[in-house]
Amino acid sequence: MWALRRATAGIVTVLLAASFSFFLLRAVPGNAVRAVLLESGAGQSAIAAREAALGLNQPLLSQYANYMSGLLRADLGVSLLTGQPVAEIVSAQASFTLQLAFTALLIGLPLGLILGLLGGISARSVFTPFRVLVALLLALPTYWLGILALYLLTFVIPIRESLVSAPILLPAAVLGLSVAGSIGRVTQGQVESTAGENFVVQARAKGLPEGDIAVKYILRPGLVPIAASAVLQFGFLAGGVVMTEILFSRPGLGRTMLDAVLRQDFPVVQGIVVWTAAILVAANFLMEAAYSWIDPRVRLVE
Amino acid sequence: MFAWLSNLWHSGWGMAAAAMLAVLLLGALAPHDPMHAVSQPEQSPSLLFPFGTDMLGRDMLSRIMVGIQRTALSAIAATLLALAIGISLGAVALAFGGFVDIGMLASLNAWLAIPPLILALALITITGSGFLQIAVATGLAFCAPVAFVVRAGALEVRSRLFVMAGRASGASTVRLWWSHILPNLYPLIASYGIVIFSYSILGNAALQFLGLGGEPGAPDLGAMMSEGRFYMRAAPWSVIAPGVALTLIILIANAIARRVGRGAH
Repeated sequence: MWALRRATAGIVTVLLAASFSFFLLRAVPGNAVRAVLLESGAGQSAIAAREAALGLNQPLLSQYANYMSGLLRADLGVSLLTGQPVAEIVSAQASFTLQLAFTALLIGLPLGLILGLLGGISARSVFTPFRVLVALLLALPTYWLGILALYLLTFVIPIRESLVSAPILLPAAVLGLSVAGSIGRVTQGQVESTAGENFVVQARAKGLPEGDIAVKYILRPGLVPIAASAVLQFGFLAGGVVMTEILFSRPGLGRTMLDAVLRQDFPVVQGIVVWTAAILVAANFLMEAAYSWIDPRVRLVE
Repeated sequence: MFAWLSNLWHSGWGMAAAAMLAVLLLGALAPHDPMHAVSQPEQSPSLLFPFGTDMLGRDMLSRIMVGIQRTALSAIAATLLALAIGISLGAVALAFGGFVDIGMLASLNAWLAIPPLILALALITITGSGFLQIAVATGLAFCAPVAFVVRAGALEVRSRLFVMAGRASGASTVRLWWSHILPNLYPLIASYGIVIFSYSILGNAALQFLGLGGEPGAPDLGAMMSEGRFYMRAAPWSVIAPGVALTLIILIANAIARRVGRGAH
């Protein structure tokens, strides 16, 4: 029952996101077809013929009905420029982006947990290095970190050549650092609020090793918000890591999105918006379903 | 004697005012013309040019100072837009209730389900690129979280006795919101607004980095990093300086938000 309600709400969210992007993108005059054909010196009749072939001359509402009914069949339309189905473009590019997102999460999650735990436990002195590090990671723009990493590894410590065999490593590490910042902050907050609890004092009085207390007593109760923030991070990353992909010249959804925006290729922009909304909704759904497994105190009741 | 000054600083508002003043003055204090060459290109930092010169011989210090001002102003514009729309949507959803509330929540959820940078990029398809345009796109991208926070805060305030008393004495819905509910949300809105400000800084700088800020050559922090990265070997300072400036703005904004937020609870 819970799953059914949640799934319905999720589908409505994705359909609404698709509708928003549909109407917003059509509020602008002009489209990729017109821009490209005008540039190549084609006449008005050629433009009209091409627009008719793509269905761009139909009334807005019937275009919308077509788009939404296509969406239900996982048909996202075709690119105005290449004629390639958008679903094909998105699924091809998504695999690159997902690889990067997973690797970044793999690096960022443990790092953020460790930094947050260490910073949260030593809450007394504000300037413990771990707290400063988390605050810094949150404030550093990812792409700047990326440029600096490229600079350091190319000119200062020239080991970039040896990284060629695993080209995903450097962008994933840079992204992972910013993921670690977000997860570190949530972890730190959770740890701070738990560290003073009576059951922690009791565990310490019992003489348990500090490491056990930190992981089993302090970290454990705060895992749900941490997991939720990790899922949100993954959703954002999977939606296209625009900056990192451009900086490291990687293929992927972010780069495709930017190209489509610059060329006014609406169906592609829309397809990526729908994909990001869907992945975020799905990730949240799975996470909520996993809550009671992570934290037995949580029960899925309405 | 200066206790009030110290209090003001610790409450976050003094810090915010000082930062605001610094932002306003920075542009006027720039020692050189940020737009034109004042020396040889790619000079390393010296007494005359503390941050060196960039690939076109422009003074980096002046460009950073004007850049901080421009980037902060565009983020302030984005934040104000996000707050104005977000507060209105949140208030309207709750004031009308029923289907309006449900519909609004579903729409806001959909807006929220699209990552901000992707959303801003999609909006730029409509607004076009340019200094003001990216501020508008960023502001629109961040209005949904504001609406959620305002709605949640108002839900709590609305249940308090003085609101009920206001309604009992015959105040209209508009008056109830304007002079009873919203004023009690100002601390919440202020501290969340600063969080949105620091998101907007990063978002705007990212869009400038992608070359969507318009005006080629303008001293915007994001654009400076993007241009400077191709001259990294000869003039690393032309990338390091804008990045440090950007990070400092975020750190300061986060510190202010923490203090203002502490006062709000």
